[in-house]
Amino acid sequence: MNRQAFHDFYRETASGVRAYLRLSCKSASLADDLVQETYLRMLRQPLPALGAEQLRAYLYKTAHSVLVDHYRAARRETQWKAEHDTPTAIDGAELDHALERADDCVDSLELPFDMRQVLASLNAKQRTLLWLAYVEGFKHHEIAEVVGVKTGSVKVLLSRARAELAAKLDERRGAQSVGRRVTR
Amino acid sequence: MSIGTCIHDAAVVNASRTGEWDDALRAHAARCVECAETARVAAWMQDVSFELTRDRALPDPMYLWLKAEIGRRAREGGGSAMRRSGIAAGLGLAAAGAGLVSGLAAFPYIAAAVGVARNELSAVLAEASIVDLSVIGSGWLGITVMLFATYLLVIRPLR
Repeated sequence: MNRQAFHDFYRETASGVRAYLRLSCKSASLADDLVQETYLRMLRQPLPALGAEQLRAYLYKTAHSVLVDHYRAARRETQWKAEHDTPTAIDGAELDHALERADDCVDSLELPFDMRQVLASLNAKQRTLLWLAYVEGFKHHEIAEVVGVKTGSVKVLLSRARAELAAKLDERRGAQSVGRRVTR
Repeated sequence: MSIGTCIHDAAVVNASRTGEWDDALRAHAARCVECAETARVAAWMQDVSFELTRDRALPDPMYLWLKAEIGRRAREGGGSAMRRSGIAAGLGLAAAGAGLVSGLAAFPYIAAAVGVARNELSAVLAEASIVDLSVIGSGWLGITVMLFATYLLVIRPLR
């Protein structure tokens, strides 16, 4: 990829990748760091000859792997602290929690409160799948490639996530219409 | 629970993303429970995307490109240094191997020559006086000290 092609590709994809990573990060600055790492990692290795759509899927696969590496490193750090910092050692439950750090990132998102509330009802994996399917428009096999699971599993997990989100949206709409009726 | 079995699922997702609905697809989405759900969820996710992506400054791609370029050059430099070290190590091993083989091949001649030299030396030493031996010994010691001093004062500072 030459410099101009990279610039075009970056301008076209960076904000989407940042939002995708932001959904699983506790802070905006961490998401920015991971965006940079994603593109640098892409530039560091020789890119296979891919079409535009495949290249986009490859970018998201790289972003996902950067995110996973980040949480692995964080987990190792937590384990190290558990082993070495005896006075402030964390217990087993907290260690398990560290594996699911991406789940409790919603509170810090730059989103209206009601959106955050709805997103908080989903776990990090569900948010990831919904984003890839309904914002980026990836097909099931492409999502499977990005997140490293089987295509059949993507279908099931995505369907479950969609149903949960739809139910949450219906619930919220119901509450809003009740609220409107009460205020009239 | 259905798992995306409606054949219009992809078209509905695409229409929700782009906002380009045709009448037939819109009519289908109104009838099909699964597609209606997909359209609702996709539209909401688009709203989330809009909120998350607006007014966000991103780093200049030039910065990333240059950073990657610097890293690439550093790796290439490291790679060629590794190659040079590898070649030097290979040549050293080859020379050591060749020396060992030639030494083994010449061993009978060397052993014979050493035997002759030892006999000659024994004969000479048997005939030599203690004064001669002291002079020869001091000479060798002097040469050794001179070589060591040359290494310390000349060769080592130059390296």
